Amino acid sequence: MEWASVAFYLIATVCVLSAAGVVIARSAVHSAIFLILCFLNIAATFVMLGAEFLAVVQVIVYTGAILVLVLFVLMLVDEDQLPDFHTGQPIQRISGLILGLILLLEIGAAITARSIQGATGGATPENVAAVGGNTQALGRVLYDDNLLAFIVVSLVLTVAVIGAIVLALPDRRVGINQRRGTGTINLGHPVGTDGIPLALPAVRGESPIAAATPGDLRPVAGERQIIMVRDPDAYTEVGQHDAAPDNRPLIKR
Amino acid sequence: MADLLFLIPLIPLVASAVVLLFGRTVLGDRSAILSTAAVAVSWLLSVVVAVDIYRSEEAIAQTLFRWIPSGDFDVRVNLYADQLTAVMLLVVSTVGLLVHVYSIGYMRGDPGLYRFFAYLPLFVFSMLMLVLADNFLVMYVFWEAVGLCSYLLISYYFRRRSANNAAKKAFIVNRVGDLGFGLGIMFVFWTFGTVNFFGETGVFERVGEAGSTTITVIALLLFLGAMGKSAQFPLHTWLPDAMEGPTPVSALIHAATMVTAGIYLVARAQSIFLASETAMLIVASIGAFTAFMAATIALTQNDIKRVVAYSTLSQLGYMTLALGTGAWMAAIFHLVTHAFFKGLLFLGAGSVIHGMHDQQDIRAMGGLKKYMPVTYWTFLAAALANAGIIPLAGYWSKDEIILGAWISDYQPIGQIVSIVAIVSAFLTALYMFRLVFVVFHGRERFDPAVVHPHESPRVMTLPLVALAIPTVLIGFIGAPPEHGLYHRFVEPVFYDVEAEEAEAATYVVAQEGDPAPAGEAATAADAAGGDHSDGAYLPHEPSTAQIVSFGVISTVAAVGGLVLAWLIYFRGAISPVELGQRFRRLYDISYHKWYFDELYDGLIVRPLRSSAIFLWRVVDIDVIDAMVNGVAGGLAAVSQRLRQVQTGLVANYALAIALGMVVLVGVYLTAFSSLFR
Amino acid sequence: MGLDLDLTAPDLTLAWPQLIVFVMTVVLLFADAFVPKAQHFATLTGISLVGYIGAAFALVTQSGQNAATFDGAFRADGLTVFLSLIILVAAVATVVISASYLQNGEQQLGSDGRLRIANSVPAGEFYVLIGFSVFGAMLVAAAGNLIVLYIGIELSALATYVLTAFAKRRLTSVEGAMKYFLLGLFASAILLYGMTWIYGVTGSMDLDRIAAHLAGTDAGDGFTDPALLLGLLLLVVGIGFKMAAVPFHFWTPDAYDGAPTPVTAFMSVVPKAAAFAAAIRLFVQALEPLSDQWTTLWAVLALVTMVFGNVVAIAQRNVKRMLAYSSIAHTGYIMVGLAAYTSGGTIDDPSISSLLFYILAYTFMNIGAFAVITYLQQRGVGMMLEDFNGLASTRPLIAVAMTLFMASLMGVPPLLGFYAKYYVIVAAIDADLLWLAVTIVVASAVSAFFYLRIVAVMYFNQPDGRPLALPTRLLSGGIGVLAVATLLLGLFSSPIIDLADQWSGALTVLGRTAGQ
Repeated sequence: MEWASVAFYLIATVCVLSAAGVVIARSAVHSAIFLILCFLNIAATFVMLGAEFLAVVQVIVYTGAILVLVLFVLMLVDEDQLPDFHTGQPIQRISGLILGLILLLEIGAAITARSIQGATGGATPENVAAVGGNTQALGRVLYDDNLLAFIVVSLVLTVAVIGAIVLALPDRRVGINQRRGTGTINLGHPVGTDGIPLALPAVRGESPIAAATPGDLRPVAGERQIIMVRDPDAYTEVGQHDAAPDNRPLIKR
Repeated sequence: MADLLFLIPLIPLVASAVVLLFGRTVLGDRSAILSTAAVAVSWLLSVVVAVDIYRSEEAIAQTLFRWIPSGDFDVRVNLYADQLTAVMLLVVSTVGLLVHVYSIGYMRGDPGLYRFFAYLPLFVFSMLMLVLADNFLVMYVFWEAVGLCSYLLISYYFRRRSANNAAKKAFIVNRVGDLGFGLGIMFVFWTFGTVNFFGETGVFERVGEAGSTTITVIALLLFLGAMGKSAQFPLHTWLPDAMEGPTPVSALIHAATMVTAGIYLVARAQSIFLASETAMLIVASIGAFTAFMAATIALTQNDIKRVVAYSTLSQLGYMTLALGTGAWMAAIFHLVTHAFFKGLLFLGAGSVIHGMHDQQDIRAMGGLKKYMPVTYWTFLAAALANAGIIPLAGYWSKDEIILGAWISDYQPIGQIVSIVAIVSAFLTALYMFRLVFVVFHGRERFDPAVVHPHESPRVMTLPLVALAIPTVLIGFIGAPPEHGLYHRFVEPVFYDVEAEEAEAATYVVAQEGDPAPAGEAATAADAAGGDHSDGAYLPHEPSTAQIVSFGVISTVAAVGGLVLAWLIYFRGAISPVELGQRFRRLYDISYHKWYFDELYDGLIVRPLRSSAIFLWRVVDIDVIDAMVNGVAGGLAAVSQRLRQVQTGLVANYALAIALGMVVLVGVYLTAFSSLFR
Repeated sequence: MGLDLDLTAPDLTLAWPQLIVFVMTVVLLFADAFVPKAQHFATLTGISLVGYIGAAFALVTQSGQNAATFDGAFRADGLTVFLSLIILVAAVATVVISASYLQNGEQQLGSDGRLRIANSVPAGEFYVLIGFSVFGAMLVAAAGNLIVLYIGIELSALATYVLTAFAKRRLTSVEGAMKYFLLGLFASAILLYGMTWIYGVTGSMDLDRIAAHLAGTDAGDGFTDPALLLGLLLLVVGIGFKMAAVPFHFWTPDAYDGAPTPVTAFMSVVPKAAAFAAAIRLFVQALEPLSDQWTTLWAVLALVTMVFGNVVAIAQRNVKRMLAYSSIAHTGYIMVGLAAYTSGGTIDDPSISSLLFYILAYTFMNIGAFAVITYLQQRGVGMMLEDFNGLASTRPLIAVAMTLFMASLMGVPPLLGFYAKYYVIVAAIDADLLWLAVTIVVASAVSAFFYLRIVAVMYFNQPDGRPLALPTRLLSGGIGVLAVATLLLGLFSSPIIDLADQWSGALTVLGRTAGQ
């Protein structure tokens, strides 16, 4: 085996492991640091492929700018106020793992069993060398072939900026005492809370939703308090089969 | 001009929609003005179109849009106006306009006024589209639409139980006819592969391609539709009951226009009927029977509107009879004259009812002449026209029908129905003048202290006068007989080159295939002295002697009826009561409308009802409802289970997506790829 | 091929309609900042309407055009015209129905029985984001290569994510947006992964070149290379998510329910139209040689989607959630058009035309239904079935309009929805997919269950006596126009179908490039 191959497999292994670390780590800060590791390894892979420019961009933009910013934010926020990412049932984790493995198997099968080889694109080593190297070739692809996409990407960023501003700005037309209030939206709650009719967020000041009584907020088995915005039952009809007491007939006769 | 054709039906439709939407809230009583104005514009355009067609002697057509583009079944909504259509347009829009004007007065103060003035232009729209249609399917749609309008207007006083029942009866009886019409259209499409009327590929050009049995079936099915709409025996029972609607509705829909749709259909499908001897025979017989039966019933009825309604039935019978004997022009001519004088009769009857404070029984009237002179004189004109007294409108057309039947190709049926028609003409004069004398002359049989008869307001008498003018004069467009202005105008529709060819084709087919009817037809033609020497189908040329003698015969019959009525109900020379006693049996049959309602009730309604109850109690509730409820309940239960998939958890959603992806990839890689080959 | 520099300027005349929308959006962005407060709202609404309608007119002038620019990355052909038209119709309708919502904010009925503002939605940003989303969707419709396609989808979707969260004081709104966002990223990753596989196998990003390459690789044994198939399947999953096909639909009810109602109306149509645009571009144009594989795949997905959407909608009491499931069901009907595609894409093939017509029809009737909810909801009610109690007696015209929309969604003749289903069924039968045609009919029958329930509640129940303000003139006009379109457009469907038939022009170019 060549040294290049050894280096590649080493880098790839670290890259995959650190990517897994991003997902597995309990602390958000740890996740971010794992992500930096992962990005650095990707940059290394780019270098091995001869794409130095990409590698540098990867390090400067993603690792240097974006992730440092992310870390900044994470450090500024009290970790206890962050939603807990790991409240899912074990069954979810296991089934997720199994599905992932099966998918990996399937993709592996597709790779090994494929008969057609990828067609050669325009950027052959000769062509790249002819225009003076990787960076120049990248420039040509970016500003010529994919000009339209390149322009539109800037719009995507604009939209992201506008969105961030709109969502972060305080509401201009709502009174100051209504403005402040925190609520946690629920992206992963234990199934155990299904019995609560409509658990409500802890909100200071006047809330658009009627205030919760303390009894509604049930701490979940020793863990941090997870607040469910709503329960699916609240929005769907409970039919006769479920024999709900408050089920009144739809059409009065 | 052709480009404006679509405006004729469109304007009433728009008015109807506007009134329906804003009538209750914004427009109020102004709805009446709006609808009337819309119909007036439509009338003006109809006149322009008719004049245009008269000048150019050519049909005009306008393509609106493709309605159903589906392979072979390509239906377009086209408007087509030839001379026949022009005549119908004029009739519909003229009577429609006058009835609208009349209704402004008649319906004043009615809380549901806007509804009335939304439905009425809707009816005008549907009727105009019906006559403008150039294929069977569009015609059928508007055939149903006029039926719907009729239903809505009969049950206009929907709080009255009898009105609701009458509306239902009209609708259900019409369904029988409509079923026939629908089947007929399917047969047409099955046979010819198209439902279009005209052009090279149209149905009418290609009648000769179909076998004689097929064409007879088609003709009879179409006629079944016509029977329902034009209230021919045995589907006639709905029309007298339909008088439950407001009187202007009776005048417009149940006398002048909608009920003549059946006549129009048969006349339009002339070439189909011409190709079937059997169908013609049946059409003529049914027409004659209806004319006679209705006339006898009208003799003994006591409700003023019912008498006029049975008179309508009888006159529709005349038209059908004329169609069945090949007197196409006479039938349409009678349709036109009838529209005016019967419209007038109804409006006059409405005026009487209005003046008598909603009293409809003629036994409680009498001597009204001095109270409502305008109504009296116009009613008298209409009665004379209906009775067929020369020179009013009814005389010319009725005489032409009787004469046309006598000399037609179809013998001996032609001469039989001709005699029936003469007898009916006598009866017509009798019952018409019974009505006139009992209502307007003689003793006042009401309590003057309670009832104060009065003449109707100007807005109602004006249409009466306006209708009286054509009632008196319109007959002259058909004078001299067979050669009037009307005949020259309409002739191209019925006796054009295509019709000759179709006729010739059927002769050829008949001679080659089935000699019997051809022989009959030929002998019949010879017997009638028709000129078939060149093999072309041309209207019979009655001799002057025939014209004069039939004129005398029908006048004698009509005047005879008039005189008899005068003797009985004016002079009192013969006691009607005694007459009724002596011919008790006949009187009962007539009074009970030949027992048709009872017959239908016993034969059809009751058995249907009991079987329906069985179906409802046993099949419906225990089987079908149980099934439907079971399915619905099952679905709801499944739905309850499935909705629980929506857990609200992003992780689960993502897992579902991943699961879907894994399964798809797995199945496809195994089944469709070269992975395991 | 190669890396030669080609510096000829792109032919921007082909992109007029898209440019108009883009410029309009930028103008909105500045107008938001500089127009004084008094005219602020009216100005922004006016600019939006003028922009979209102008773009629609520019689009009509392009009818019959068949050309490409930006090195083939941008296409102006029949498909672009029709799909962009649908998107612009949806945009105009959204602006019209959202105007009063934006003006008054989202209101809630307080415990004291008075309405008060619970959420105000910033109008400027709302219009700007709608503009960007429309631009992105139009770009998908016009995409000539995978990258533009993907970026168009992302641009459109990103704006929609933000819009979903616009009622940010209502936590359901934020939650819906968050779910939509997370799952959307998940699906985007899958889509992108699929694209890389296709690129890896064919060596090109250009849709026509991909088709040309694939046409040459068919082994002829009826089996497809696993690598190719994997790419195809990943694309199906990614696109299926954007369409809201079962089982990738889970975001739909939560996001539809949470989003401000005008946004729900918008995102029930525009991202869906963009997804179908992407599907036609990807499958019919680029992966056409694999049509045997993907037609069966879409057929199965269509079946599952129709059945699932309609059945689960029955259990919903929240009208917005009900309409979310209804929109899933309609995705199923629309997918039938894709499944009915018959290889070769002849001019006579009615499948894609029926699909395009269906989306247009769906745009009118669905936005109409949401318009009615917008009217009700901003008064603090309107989400639940009970809020429709007795609407027929308090607001009869609105009830009639809602009845029309429901009946049309159900497919009652002669309304627009009936014609849409009719064309799809005909396409399915033409493609020998009788079972799918039968399923459409059965599913429609099931759908009567929940559509008619709203009608029944409106007409048979007593109103609860809560005050209902009059709708603004713009909103009632919008509802009226949509209702009339739903009522009449079906009768005049043949010119629309003729316009939709121009999609096949997009494929005739394929023949030319394949020859090169």
